[in-house]
Amino acid sequence: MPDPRINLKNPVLAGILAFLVPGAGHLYQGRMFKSVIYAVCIWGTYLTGNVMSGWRAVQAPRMSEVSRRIPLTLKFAAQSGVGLPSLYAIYQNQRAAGPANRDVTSISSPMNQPFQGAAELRPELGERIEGTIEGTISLKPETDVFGKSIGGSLKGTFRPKGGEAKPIEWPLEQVVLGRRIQPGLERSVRASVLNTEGRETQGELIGHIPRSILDGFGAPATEADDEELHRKLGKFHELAMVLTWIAGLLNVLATWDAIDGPAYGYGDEAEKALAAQAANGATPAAPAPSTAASATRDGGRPQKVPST
Amino acid sequence: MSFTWYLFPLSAAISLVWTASRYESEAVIIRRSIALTFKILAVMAVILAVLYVLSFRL
Repeated sequence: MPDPRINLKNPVLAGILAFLVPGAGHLYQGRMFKSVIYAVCIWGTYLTGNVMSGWRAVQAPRMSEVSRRIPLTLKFAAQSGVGLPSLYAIYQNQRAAGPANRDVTSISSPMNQPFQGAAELRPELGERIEGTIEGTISLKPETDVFGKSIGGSLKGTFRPKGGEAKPIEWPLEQVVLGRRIQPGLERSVRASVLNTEGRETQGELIGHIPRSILDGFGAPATEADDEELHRKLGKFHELAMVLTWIAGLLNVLATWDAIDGPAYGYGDEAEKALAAQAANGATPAAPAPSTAASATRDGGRPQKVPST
Repeated sequence: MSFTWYLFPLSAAISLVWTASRYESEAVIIRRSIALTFKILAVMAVILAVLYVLSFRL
């Protein structure tokens, strides 16, 4: 029988809340200390794993893949202990499979985004120049004989290999943005770099702009995405996944506690029993030889000594 | 940063959640979760020592 001091209120509702948001079920029940413990520990573990993996740790298998991709199914089963983010990953599967989720070659309105990447320039006279770029990319819709496309410009700093950084402002054409729904918070960008007059192509640009966390979290990964993640993170990739599994499994305990109360009781039952014995005037005495064996059998609990 | 350092906060988090799911009293939860954390770390230290000895000079 649950301890009367623990008010579970509506246990089913508390369990649902605890499953969806770790700590919410106990907050609803007014068990503030536990709510904070579960929220900090479970969310802390879960978010650490996600941040470590660049928000690519959580992936849900499609319904058709559940029996084919057993490892992914088992991984997601553990992660799904943390309910709301895992449900979102299932929704992301639907979004990613939609016909609109493909490389983008036209946009409806201009956009400015911070950009990081690399460029390879092939000037008419001189050697090929490679280097890294950091700056702001400005994109705008364009229309030419071939139809709609994306153009724009890149303003920032170009650091050639073995050379010094210099400010640049390059016109761009044939910009291709990566798929909107894809794991991670970096969206790929490819473009042709034009010369200063904006007429001749002088090189290629490849890099990334930020992707919204609502588009990047929980998105399904291709094999190429997985390989890139392994290459980038190394053994930290495994650690990131394990942290999200542990968080999911810990939330199973928290959800059970919200529904059924603590497994062993309030925790002060032994102290209360001793206090009750002391209040009744019984003192724990050294057991007589004939009772020593029974005390051992009873696990060493203090025995009531009958008064003579 | 070596990922071994993650072991310490992870052990503490697991101990806290496990103990909190067993008891309700705050004092009992804190006391028992501290003890469990040290037990987990002690067991892992023993396993580390055994593996180190077994892999010596490999």
